[in-house]
Parts: sequence; structure tokens; C-alpha cells
Amino acid sequence: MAGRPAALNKRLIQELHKTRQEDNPALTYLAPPDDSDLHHWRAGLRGTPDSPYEGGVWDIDIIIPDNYPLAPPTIKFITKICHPNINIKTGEICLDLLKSEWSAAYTISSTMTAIQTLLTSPEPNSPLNVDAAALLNDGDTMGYESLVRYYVWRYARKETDL
Amino acid sequence: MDADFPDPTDWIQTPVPGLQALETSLRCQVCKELFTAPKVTSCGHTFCSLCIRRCLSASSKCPTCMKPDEEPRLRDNIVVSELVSSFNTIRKSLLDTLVAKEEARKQAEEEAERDSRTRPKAEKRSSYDLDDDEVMEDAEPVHRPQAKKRRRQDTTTLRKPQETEPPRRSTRTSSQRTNSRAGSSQVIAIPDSDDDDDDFQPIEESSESEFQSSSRAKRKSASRAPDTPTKDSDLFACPLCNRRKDQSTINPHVNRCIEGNRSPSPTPGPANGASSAGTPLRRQPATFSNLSRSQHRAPYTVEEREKLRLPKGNASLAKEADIRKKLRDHGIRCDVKGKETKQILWTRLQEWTNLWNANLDSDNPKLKHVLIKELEAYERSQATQKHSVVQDKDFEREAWSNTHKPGFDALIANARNTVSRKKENGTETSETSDSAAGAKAELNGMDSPEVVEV
Repeated sequence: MAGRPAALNKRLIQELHKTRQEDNPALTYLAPPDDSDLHHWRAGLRGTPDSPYEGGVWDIDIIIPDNYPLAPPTIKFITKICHPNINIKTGEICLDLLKSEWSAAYTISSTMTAIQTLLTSPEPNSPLNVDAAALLNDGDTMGYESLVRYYVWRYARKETDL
Repeated sequence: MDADFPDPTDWIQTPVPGLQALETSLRCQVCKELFTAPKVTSCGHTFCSLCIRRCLSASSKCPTCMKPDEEPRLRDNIVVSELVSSFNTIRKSLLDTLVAKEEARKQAEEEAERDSRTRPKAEKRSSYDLDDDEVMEDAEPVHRPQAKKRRRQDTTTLRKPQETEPPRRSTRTSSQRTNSRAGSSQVIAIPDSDDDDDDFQPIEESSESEFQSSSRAKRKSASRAPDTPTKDSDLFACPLCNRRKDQSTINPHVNRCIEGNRSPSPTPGPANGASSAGTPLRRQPATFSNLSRSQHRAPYTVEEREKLRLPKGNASLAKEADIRKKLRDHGIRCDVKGKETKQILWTRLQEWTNLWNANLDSDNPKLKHVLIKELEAYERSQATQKHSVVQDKDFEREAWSNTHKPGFDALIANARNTVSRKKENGTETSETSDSAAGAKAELNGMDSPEVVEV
């Protein structure tokens, strides 16, 4: 913990405190897996209701940089997910909010909500998963949704099991 | 937890959860603390002076609405500043009062429930009774039927809860309320986190928020001390004054010993705390008089501020030698051998400008040497991390697009050619693919902005 700015730790503790008080409907949990490292969080993201992602839960890895909140956290999917803007192998997310459009006013919790929104509003023109994006671009919604459902069934944790 | 990290969600548990929204709007969106020296942007959003300055030097956009903004356009938000200070003064007592009220209500509810269980004969009436009680308890805490019930309950079989818990219904007066709260609701304090995280800079602890939280912890302990004796085994001796303190108060206490009063005699801490314990209104003046005389000065006047305000400057116009000179003039460390790049020096100067200008806005400005220590601590805390991938303000869009203009022009020309050729005859496919390949090669030759940045 040495060398980490006290103000940042304070903000993180405050965010953590807030997530404990107020449940984010998009998440099953949100907390650092290890109490000694406040700069590494994990979250369980729920699939958006009424979408092919419904019922799935994905584990997400969150690394918080030292200059947070001026710089965005690094967020990756741990659980495999099929989405045009998420790399299927690395779990890397392509979302302007996590790069150029980041604002210091966002919190970890609000960022996770934004990622849940991304699930239902993919941007196939800047794909990280070319196959999924191609299906969407060709207008094969049925094919796309089936593919997504397959990955949910095959890889994601199920909300009913929790 | 709420002792050291006051948070808007504290109000959820009170009878007036709407206060959460009030407190949220009194907090800075960036640091999530109550505003310090609030500044309003040209788009009307308010932030702490230092927070918004840092944000604007990173991206020149309002963090809330992303509208472009600049530092010189920031204005003081005087009303918010007053709101925050008055809210801060009443916050603790308001929260305590409301929490105690809510606890009393819950207690009454429980008792009513127990009561209804212990007299099954009157079941038909009791359910009606219970509802009635609940409503009335909300409106008017002290009333007859409740008191009667309590007496009855004391004599019935339910001894256990009475033995283990202090009689909460008697916490009507404010002095008793504090005791009951401390004893029964087990406010978990994590007072040492500040000290642990605190970049080995004793000076940093004196930064305002830090200081307040430790003084809050102190106040708490002082108000608790006389009535709730802690077991002797739980006490730790302060290495400086040998006073025995319990685990939750030892750290703030040691800090105070080190900073406030350097003599090893018993600190004025407890006495001071006790005197201020009953009068939360006097909290701030009392605490600042104690330790900060060597680190704080009187607030700057408007004229002084204007005179002392540092200009932001422009990264591309500034020469490395000038930056070095400026830093040295301010008494900030910078290497002599020229090892540090212009980028590092510029970032340091920017952060210094931010700290300095924000300090001018502060209600209790720190002295220069304190600021310099803060700058160093901040830099050390940022040193471990790689340069962020996010495009910096310093990235020179103009220059970059100028250098690569020929490339772009060639691409555009190529594209136009392709289109017109396609229109003329669709047969010249080999030609177009060639030019496309050429364009691609050119594109690859250009460095992306990110790469240039890093």
C-alpha cells in the first residue's frame, strides 16, 4: 500500500462503502477479492433482462490505476462472453467510456452499469469480436442471438445457480 | 465505518432518507468528499478547486457533462461553500439524533412484538394494537401505552435482552444517547486506515479531510470515555505520553501526540476533546488552533489571490530550461543533470500550479513548504504507474495532423480516384487494389496518436 495516495484510498473506501449500502441491480457483487489490495476489484455482471444475455452472470476484473479517478480503471471480462465489442479470448472491452470518454465523475459502480448497457447496444463498427459483429452487420439477428445464447449457456455462470 | 468515512448512504437508515440526496449534492463528483473551496465551471457544475483543476489539466472537459472548459473560467461558488460548512457543522449531531430516534422506534416495535407474543390471550386486540403503536411511535415517541408495556415486559420472562443490552428506551436525552449508540450499535471504526495509507508523510495527515476525520475519531472517543470503561487488556499505551487508549483511538491519538505537542507530557488532547465534545459547533476552530499554526495561514484576500495566481502556460511553447527555472524559483526539486524529460518536468509544474492555485482558494491555506511536500508525495504516488493510454491534453493535435497531412491527402485523393474510376469503368480492378495497398502502407507508416504520446 505504500506510495499510494491517501486521497485515492479514501475515495475507494467510500465507493466500496456505498456499494455495500446500495445495491446496483446490474451486479451480483462488487468488491476487492483481497482486502489488502484496494486497487483490484472483482464484480459479477448480470446479463441485461429481455436480451439474449439474460440469466447469465460474468465475472469482471477491475484494476484501478494510481491516478484514478483522472484515469479510467482497466476492466476485463474473466468469463468468456460473446459480444461484438469484447475480445472473446482476452476479455478486453472496447468502450469509449473506458478510454477517451472517461470522466472523473464516474464511479466503479456506474461504469459497471455502462458495461451492462453495452451488452444490449453493441457497436459492430468497431469490433473486437469480428464474427459476432459480422453477423450483426449482415442483419442476421437470429444467428447473432443464438450465438450469444450458446455462449451464455456454455460459459457464463447462471443466475439461478447463485 | 461511518465514523471515519461519512457517506451519503448513512442517511438511508434514518427516518429521513431524503437527506442522502442533499448530502450527495454537497459532495464533489470527483473526490466524493464534501466540497473544499468549491468552484463552478462555465457549464454550471461545481467541484473542489483542486479536483477540477486536475481534471482540466488532464482533459479540458467538465467531468460531468464533458463540455469543454478552461481553468481561467472557473468561479468561486460562495453559496455552496457556505452550505457545505454549515452542513458539516450539524452533520454529526443530526445523524446521531436521527439514528437514535430510529433505534428507539425499532426497539419499540420489537417490544410491541414481544409483548404480543407473551400475551396470546389478547391476540385479537394486539395485532390492531401493534399497528397503532407503530404509527404513534413515529409521530410522537413518548406516550402512555408504550410505557405501560415496558413495565409489564420487565416483569415478564424476558430478562435476557434486558441484561445484555443497555436500556435503550431511556436514551432520550442527548448525552445518554451517545452512550447508548456507542455501546449498542457497535460503530465500527477503522481509524488506522488513514495512518496506514498515509504516504509516510506526517505532513499529509494534516491535510484538511484527514485531519477532520482524526479529530472526529478523537471527539468520539472523548465523548465515550467517561461512561463506557474499556477493559484494561484492550488498551494500548501511547508511546509518547503513556496514556492508555483503546485500539480504535490509539492511532489518531499518537498522531496528535507527535504533531500537536511534541513534549512527552500528557497531551492537551483529552481535555480539549472533552471540552469540545458537548459543543459540536465549536469543533473546527478548536481543532485548528491546536496543531496547524505551523502549517496554515490566514485565508488569502481576493487581491492577493489575483496577484499570486500562477498561469497555466502552454506545453508546446514552454522551453525545458524555462520550466526548470520556474520550478527552481518555486523551490521545487528538479535534477541538475537533465535526466528528467521535459514531459516529467512539465507534469510537475502543472501539478504544482494546480496545488498552488487551489490552495489560494482554500479557507485555511497551507504554507508553501507543506505544499511542496504534498507535491512530492503526489508524484511519488504516481511514479509507479505507466503513462496512461488516454490521450493527454498535451498531445498536439495540430502538429500531428500537420506532419501527416500529405499522407491524409494522398489517401483522400486515392479514394476519390477509386470512386471516379469505378464510375468510368468497373474493369480497372487491378489499379484500384494497387492504390488501396499503397494507401494502407502509408497508414501503417504513421504512428498512432497513442504511440506518439507514450
